[in-house]
Amino acid sequence: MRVKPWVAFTTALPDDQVEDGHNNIVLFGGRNVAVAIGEIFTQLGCEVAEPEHAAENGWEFSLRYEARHRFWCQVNSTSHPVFRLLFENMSFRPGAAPDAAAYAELALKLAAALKNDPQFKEVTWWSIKEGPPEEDEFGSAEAKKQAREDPSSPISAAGKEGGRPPWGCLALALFVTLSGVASLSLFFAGISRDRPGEIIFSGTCCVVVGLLGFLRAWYERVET
Amino acid sequence: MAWGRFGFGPLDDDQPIEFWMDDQNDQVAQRDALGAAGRQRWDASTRSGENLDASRPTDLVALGGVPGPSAPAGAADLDAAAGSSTASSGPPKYVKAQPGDHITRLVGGSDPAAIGTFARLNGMDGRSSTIYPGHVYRLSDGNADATADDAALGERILHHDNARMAAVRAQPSANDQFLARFNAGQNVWTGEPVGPGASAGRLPVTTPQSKPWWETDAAKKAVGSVAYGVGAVAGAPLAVYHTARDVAEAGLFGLQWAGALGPLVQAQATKAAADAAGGALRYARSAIDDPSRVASDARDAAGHAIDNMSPFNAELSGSLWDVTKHQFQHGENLGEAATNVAGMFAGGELVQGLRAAKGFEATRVATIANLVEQGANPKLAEYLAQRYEGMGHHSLISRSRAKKLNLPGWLVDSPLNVAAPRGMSRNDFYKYHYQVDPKAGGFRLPAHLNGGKGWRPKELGLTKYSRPQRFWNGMPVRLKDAMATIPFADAPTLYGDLEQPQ
Repeated sequence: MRVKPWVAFTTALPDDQVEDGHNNIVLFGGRNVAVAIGEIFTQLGCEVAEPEHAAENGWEFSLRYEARHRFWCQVNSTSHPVFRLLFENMSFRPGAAPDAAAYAELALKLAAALKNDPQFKEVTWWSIKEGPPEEDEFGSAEAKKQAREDPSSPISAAGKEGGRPPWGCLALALFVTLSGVASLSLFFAGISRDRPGEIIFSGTCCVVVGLLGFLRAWYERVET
Repeated sequence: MAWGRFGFGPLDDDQPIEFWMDDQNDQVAQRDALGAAGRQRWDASTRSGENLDASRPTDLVALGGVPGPSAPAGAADLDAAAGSSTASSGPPKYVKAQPGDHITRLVGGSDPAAIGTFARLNGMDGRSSTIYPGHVYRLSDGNADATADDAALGERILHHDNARMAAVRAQPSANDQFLARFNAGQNVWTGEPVGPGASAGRLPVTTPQSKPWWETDAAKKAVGSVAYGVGAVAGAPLAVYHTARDVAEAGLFGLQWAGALGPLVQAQATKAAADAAGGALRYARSAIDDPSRVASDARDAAGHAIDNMSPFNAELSGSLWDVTKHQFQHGENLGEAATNVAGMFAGGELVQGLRAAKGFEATRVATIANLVEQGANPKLAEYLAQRYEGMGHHSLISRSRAKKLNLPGWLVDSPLNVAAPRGMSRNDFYKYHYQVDPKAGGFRLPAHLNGGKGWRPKELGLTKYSRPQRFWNGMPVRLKDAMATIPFADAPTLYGDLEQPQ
């Protein structure tokens, strides 16, 4: 069971995009939508931060649920009144049972709140693989056909919450790290004593880059 | 040496050849005498009608040793049925030795005098006491005829036999010592070290199973492969290291040449620069005289580089350590070369980006025309053809991950994390962003430009990049700029390599 992070909907809220009169966008639209969704989260017991402008990516805000579960939302649009919301779990261990349960619980509550809120209509939920429909596909029968599961539900029965780590990237990062360690070990074992600066530099670089890559790959999940 | 000579003697008979020859001559003489006696007896039997059996020549010899009615003096009684037996008294007695017989058994004791008498009667001088099975030996009539010399001879024979038995018992340990000396490269007889010679470098006698695992080719290949892979990874930062070092050296040289470190240093730098320029000129002149030299040098340099990167030229006859070191260093060379190649690609993109940025305005009209041709209205085309000046693509650390880790803005939005290639229009960047960001979709456009519709990637038939493509194309521009300096900074090294052969 996993939460589908993409939410597509239409809104009755007005278009708040700010333009300068010369076909230049000063502020992308969607702030009012972000605020409205933030208010819903607040009603659900969350502590919600102010939305931030993210240029062509729309508006972003973070929130806390039950004080310890952190989530992140991005609201953007290609054309008013069609919007999409990316609702992500910011836990360090997205697959861990308490975080996954809180994520699913909050998603279900949000789905129910959006369904009952007259400002939002045609709410559908999509996985990362499926992605949200584009504006001209929105609400079409074709888009619903492409959905692997019922798009009205935020929960997918298939797959595991948090996905899986990208094992290939993890293996590569681990190899780089171990190569750095081996390189330094070979130096201290006396294999390349004639150029200590080079070996220490390259070994240290490999260890640092490998560890950073490992951490990045660990937190980058592949949807299952 | 007389071990087992002709199949007669026992294996432990180590008497010299001349003694053995003496024994043989004695036995031949004795056999002739006995043969003559046997023939006489055979002749007598034909006259007397006695029934004797002598179908073979050797039977005559045996017949000559058996006393009979007409036996000649000196013939002995032969106990053929019981193997060997001693005579009690009377005329000279003879006995046919059986396998396993020895003097003390034939004599009936170990009295030195009796043994000495036996030896004297049978022509044994004390240097050998070997009794041969099938041979006939004369026995003493008693100790009465023993002399002092016989006792001394007997003593000598006993001493000789005891020494020989001790030697036989010591033989296995001697054999072990021979093997140990041989394996140690020493003379097996004297134990002295063997000097330089044909056999000095002989390897110890060992079986193939005794080779330790780390000296097998399979172990060397396996460990060497791992070392090569490790070296290939470790070689990538080396390219950066060498670039930084070359840049630093170039900077220092620039300071020296500019006179920042004093007139003396400046003069030295000027001379070094003149030498380098002179070397380049000489090379250019020789290349003009012999253009094939350039190709030849390039070929040599390429061959040298390939040799230095190849994992297939390790000497497997060396130790595991040598193979590991060789493969690690060749892997490093490969990693450094690969980074240089990647830097050249990055350099290509850098040049392309700089050219696009420089010619952006010049190509803008063409871009607009192109977009209009694709179906965009002129105002939309003009908007999409404008230079992109947004926040860019957060490559290494995404904005959501930055929030998760509470990373500061200066780090998240730094040029080392944000990819915004030079010379890109809005349209180009939207395409780029959609392809490198797995979560990016369409983008909003000004309300009146496209009838309220946004920029839609599916309409353009775009697809997302694969993970490796995302890694390379999503790499921040400044990082690629840094990579692009790597191969160029190594160029002086290449020039130096080319100049060396002269």
